Amino acid sequence: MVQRMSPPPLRELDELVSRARRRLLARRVVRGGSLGALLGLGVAIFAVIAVGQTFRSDSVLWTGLAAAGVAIGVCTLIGVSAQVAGRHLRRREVALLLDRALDQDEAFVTAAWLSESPEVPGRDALLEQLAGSFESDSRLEDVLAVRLPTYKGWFPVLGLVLVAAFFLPPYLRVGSGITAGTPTAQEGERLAERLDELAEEIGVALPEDLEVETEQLAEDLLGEELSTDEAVDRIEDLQKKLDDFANELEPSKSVLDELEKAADALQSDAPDLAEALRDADMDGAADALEDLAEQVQEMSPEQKQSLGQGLEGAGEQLAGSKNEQVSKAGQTMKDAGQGLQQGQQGQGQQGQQGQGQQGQQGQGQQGQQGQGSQGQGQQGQQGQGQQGQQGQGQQGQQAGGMSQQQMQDLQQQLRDAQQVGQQLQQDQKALERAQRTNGALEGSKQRLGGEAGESQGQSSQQGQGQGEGQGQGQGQGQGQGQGQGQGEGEAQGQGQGEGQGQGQGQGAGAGHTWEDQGEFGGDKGFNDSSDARNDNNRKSTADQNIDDFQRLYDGARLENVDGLLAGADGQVDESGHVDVLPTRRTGADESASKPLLNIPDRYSEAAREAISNETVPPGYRDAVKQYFDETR
Amino acid sequence: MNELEFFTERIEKLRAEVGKVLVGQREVVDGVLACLVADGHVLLEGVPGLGKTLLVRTLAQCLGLTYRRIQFTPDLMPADIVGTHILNEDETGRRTMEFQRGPVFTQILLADEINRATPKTQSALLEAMQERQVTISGTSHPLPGPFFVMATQNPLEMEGTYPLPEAQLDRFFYKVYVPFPTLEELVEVVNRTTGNTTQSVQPVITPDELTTMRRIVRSVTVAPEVMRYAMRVLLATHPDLPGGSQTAKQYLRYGASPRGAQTLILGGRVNALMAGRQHIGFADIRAAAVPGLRHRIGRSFEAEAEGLETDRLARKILDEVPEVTGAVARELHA
Repeated sequence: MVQRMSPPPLRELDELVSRARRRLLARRVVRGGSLGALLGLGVAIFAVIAVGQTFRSDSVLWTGLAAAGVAIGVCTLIGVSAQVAGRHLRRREVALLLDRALDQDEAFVTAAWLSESPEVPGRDALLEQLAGSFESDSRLEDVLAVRLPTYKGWFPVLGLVLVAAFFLPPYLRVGSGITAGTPTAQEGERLAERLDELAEEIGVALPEDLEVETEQLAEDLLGEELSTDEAVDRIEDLQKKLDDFANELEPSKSVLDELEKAADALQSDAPDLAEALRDADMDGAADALEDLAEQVQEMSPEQKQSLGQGLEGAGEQLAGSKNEQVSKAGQTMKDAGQGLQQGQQGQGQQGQQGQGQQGQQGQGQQGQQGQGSQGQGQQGQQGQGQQGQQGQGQQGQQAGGMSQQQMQDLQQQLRDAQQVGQQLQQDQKALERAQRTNGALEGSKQRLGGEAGESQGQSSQQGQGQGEGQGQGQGQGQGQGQGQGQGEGEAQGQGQGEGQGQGQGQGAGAGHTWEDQGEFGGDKGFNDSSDARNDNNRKSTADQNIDDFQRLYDGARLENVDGLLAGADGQVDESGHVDVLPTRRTGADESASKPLLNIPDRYSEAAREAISNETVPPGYRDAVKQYFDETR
Repeated sequence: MNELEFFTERIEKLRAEVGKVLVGQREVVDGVLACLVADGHVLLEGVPGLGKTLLVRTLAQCLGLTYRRIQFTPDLMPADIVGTHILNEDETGRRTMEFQRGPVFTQILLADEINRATPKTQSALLEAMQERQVTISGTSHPLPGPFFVMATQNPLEMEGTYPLPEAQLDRFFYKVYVPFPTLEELVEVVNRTTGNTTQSVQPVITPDELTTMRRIVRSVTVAPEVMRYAMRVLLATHPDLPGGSQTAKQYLRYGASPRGAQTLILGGRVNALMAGRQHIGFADIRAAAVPGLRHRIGRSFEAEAEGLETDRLARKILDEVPEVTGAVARELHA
């Protein structure tokens, strides 16, 4: 049974223990309060920031002050309560604490124990001896001093941060809706910068009203005069106007497409003429035609035949144009081509045999899809196969060519259409400017939280991206042809023949994306509005390809493995995550999960999948394929 | 005069009387006296010529007790220590087997260079040291009290030594190292031993007083907190127990036996009395820990390879065991 102290020495001990307990309680209060207040300061900082971003009225300062005060007060109260409510030291524990604090060789704890143990022999005598130790209580205030904890240095630091949270960040400026540093303002800065780049790069201005409105939008965003919703509305409105403007240029685009197709038809036989048509350079086309007319006389019959076909095909494309001058020139070109072919046949010499065969032209395989920086599919131009080898058969002798008059007419018509060509060039650049501006606006809208779907669909129809792609294809074709030769001679005949042709073609295509200059990475661009990601997306196509390559083939190393290796099988999913296939450390107990001999095959298979899925950048595909084929 | 004064006065007398003959070696003398009043045996270790035998002989003279010395040699047999039965013929010609007591039948036994004898002979002292009796041919012969064994041994690295078995070592209360004297002590030793003057030692306490002192030692109060600290220290020497310290786990093969726990408390009690207190503090336990544990813990190969002596390991273990734990420790360091 515990017997409370009654002798004088023990009353002194009890008094000492009571004083120590009060000191300990005070220390706990200070300690808990300090810790709570410190945490409260931290919470207050976040509270002030949250208030500043939530409230946009004159009361923001007072609201912030109130939030900070509440946070500090509540946390301090919690800290004090937790300390006070915690377990307190028992009497002997306090005595032991006093022993250690006052260096009393455990006199207090021995006395406290003796006071609870009346059965100990000689207890009273020993307590009398120990009583001398109890007088050394004057040091109690020193050894159990109530002082601030060691982390008190954090108070001024956090206090300054709290003050700074009130006054330094501009978003707490009273009365301002949105301030510098907000996403809207950042977007304005980014948009202005992008518009300057486009203006400098393309060199053709938009219509004045659009130009002014675009610049004004950027200024308004940068000037923090629009809320996010307002900004998105303005952007969408401007996008609509840009789309309308692009639609106005649709006829020009149609003509440009026709010129492009005509150029394709002439590419193999008259490359200079094709290039000039592709650029809508009518003067240049006339010059090229003039040069061509001089060369016709020196051409072989086969070349003339081919040229005639090319001119006819190109003429057909242009003849259907809605532009009158272009249509007229196209008709003339078609006639010239036909004339060239007919003249060749009409003046042909006698066929040597009655039968002849001509192999069908081999047709080149379609070029691989080009890939722009965004991963948007861009279809390359179809490769044109070279003409297949002729089969056996008689071929008419060539003779003659297109008429001189036709050539002159065509040249004149082309020169007459020079102004049209210049206008087409202007329209082409204006269209590009409008589309890329639209893409920049779309990016801004997405980063500001606008809807993506509509714009994507809209832009995908109109946008002309800068993604570049190259593809090579090889194809084999088989054809059967029939040829007839007529001539004046002693013999007539008909023949049939079979031929085989092989062709190779190359195609290059411009990808079509909704965005400008590959500024946003496909779906990522829609979903990710962080600055860092956007900055990364601004990298050039080459940089991004290198990043992809590094992500793919940089070996991944397991964490906390001091021995051996880990590997990556080289697959990057849509989120950019690299699938890792860790290999086992040597020395582990378990057996290997995969035979080493199978690893190269697995890697090679993964690489082939990556190539077929177009995960691997185009420039690296051959190298990747070769590498993994060699590892097998 | 109360018990504390009685004890301290006798201890001072013993110190002074021994100091007449033995120069310096205060810690060694205190260690031996602690063993004496704690009713334990002491093992002194040091190179030859440091006064170990002189200390034991002097102490025997100071106590007025019977004293015998056994010089342990490799050919010493157990019977040479405990005695044997011999055939005795009386005046009538009648022959009887009579027990001839060995030198162990004394009050203070000096087992000099105990590690020069074989383990078999060393073990002859086991029963005498623990049970205070000797059993020969089924007959137990009690030893005269107070019985006190003081053994000396040369460092184990010396030639011709047999290390004491753990069971034997465990029966020694303290293992006391006898250090080489300092310069001043050497000068005094030479002065005393090379001149014509000799110091004579007189008995200063009686055997009864020694018995009283031993009773006083056992009456010293030990608070439960201190007792638990001593037990935590002991458990910390065990590498394979939950309370084992990191040092023990790394450097010890085995820890101290429960006799070590008794030593910590009894030694702490003696230290408290010598410090003028009748209650034990943590410091008393710590002071008793090194001489009381150094021969009870076994070093691992790693400790031997790193040259870590048991003294250093015992101190490391003491450093690892906090005197106060839990809420008290938190408040103390707050």
